[in-house]
Amino acid sequence: MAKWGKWLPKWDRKRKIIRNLLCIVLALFLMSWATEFPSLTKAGLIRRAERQYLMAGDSQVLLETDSIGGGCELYLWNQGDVLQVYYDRTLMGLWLDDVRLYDEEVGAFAGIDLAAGKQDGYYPIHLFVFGDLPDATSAEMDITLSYTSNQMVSTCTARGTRAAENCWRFDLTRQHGDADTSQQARWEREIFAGSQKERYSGVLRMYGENEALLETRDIEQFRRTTMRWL
Amino acid sequence: MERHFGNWVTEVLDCVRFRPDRRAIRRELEAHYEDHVKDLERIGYDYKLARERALNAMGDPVEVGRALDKVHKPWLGWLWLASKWVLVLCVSLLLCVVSYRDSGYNICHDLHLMRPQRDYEPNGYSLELNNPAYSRATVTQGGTVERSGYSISIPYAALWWNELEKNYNMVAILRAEDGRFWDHGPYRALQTLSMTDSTGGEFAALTEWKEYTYKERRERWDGFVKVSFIKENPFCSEYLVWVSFLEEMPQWTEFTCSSGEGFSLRLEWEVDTDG
Repeated sequence: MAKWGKWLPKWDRKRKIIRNLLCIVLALFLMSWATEFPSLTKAGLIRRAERQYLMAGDSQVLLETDSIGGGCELYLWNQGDVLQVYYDRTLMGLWLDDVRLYDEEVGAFAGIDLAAGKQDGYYPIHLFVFGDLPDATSAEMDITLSYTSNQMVSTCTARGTRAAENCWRFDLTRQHGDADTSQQARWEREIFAGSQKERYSGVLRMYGENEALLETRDIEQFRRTTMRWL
Repeated sequence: MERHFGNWVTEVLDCVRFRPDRRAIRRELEAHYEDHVKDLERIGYDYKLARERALNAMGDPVEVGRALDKVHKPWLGWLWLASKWVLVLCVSLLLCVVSYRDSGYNICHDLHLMRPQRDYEPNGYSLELNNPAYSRATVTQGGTVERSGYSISIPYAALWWNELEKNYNMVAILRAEDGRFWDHGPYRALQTLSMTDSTGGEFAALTEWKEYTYKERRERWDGFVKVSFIKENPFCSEYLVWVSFLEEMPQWTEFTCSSGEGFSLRLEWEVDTDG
């Protein structure tokens, strides 16, 4: 260090602080560059995703998931299209991984709410339906829960709650009691304990004022997510 | 006397509130004191007297301590130390990031790509440059549109005649520039690029083209538009647009992007009389 010392200018402490701060800013900039300038805010991330498709900046967030492993997802509603944004939380900010545009009219997702934790030994399960849905005042869905591909476990009817303007959320409830020893009850307990072997299908009904039926829609497949709903 | 100087230094250092500097101050005061003692010995003072005189010359320890404390302000000292630690941390993280993600190359690569390319001719942007069946019929360039903060232009386009298949292929460079160094180009939107030409030809985006059977494709379109990524730097991205199966030499061609705000870019073609 003494060898190098004679080459360094003799600066007072204030100048050294300014020099160090400038070097810190430069190091952070280079770090950000090396990691492809991650976005500092979620709004910035959404704008970047929109710009990849030359879209206007008026996306509405339908759903958000946060992965325990690292990868997170955002589902955006933008003038009739659904944008799915994959991103990672990094030290420098939110790194945009991939963006996909879905032109399907209605999207459906289901996931175990790991964030809520186990309640009486079981996780809550939520189903989301979003997209080009009529402007309804209420919604309900007949949900069929299956174990793996086609072994039916239970059916139930759930009332929807509005999660966003074009997005309805349905909470799945257990239909078999703890004392039930049937195969279906065992499968159901396994699913609600987080086995991730479940499949869903449903019939969605949207109602207007005075409970007038506006639309009925069969949803054969729910995209399953192992992520944590926010 | 040794002990006296030690006491004097301790009294001085007690006045300095920024503790990390105390060791350096002690070293400096000791060096100063020893130098003075040696000077006095050199002019004939005996050892004991030289030390006593040198100590007296050092002054009042509290006064010296207060003066040193003013110079070594604690807030400035802690700020300096903190900035040093943070800098070391940042540089270490930078080295980790660069080595882990192999991103150092990206920075150098980006810097290299920032040099604007003015001449697209030398490599010709023909997909089969060495194929004698291809000969370039004509070259042109298109206008510029502004969408979502991007300035999208076609700085180079060429029509190539395929002697074997008796049709034309078009190769164009599509350039998207923006001042946002943190942003990527509109690659996703460009996947929806389709084309029409003056002869009534219609060319579908490759993604759409692939969704249909061979027979359906022939009924609907004359060919397809393929967009592939060439290079990107923080301010600009370039894409290679390739259009196949143009049966006649068009007077004009128009690219249309249907994604989001969408855009159209028109190219006027003239026969290259230079051959």
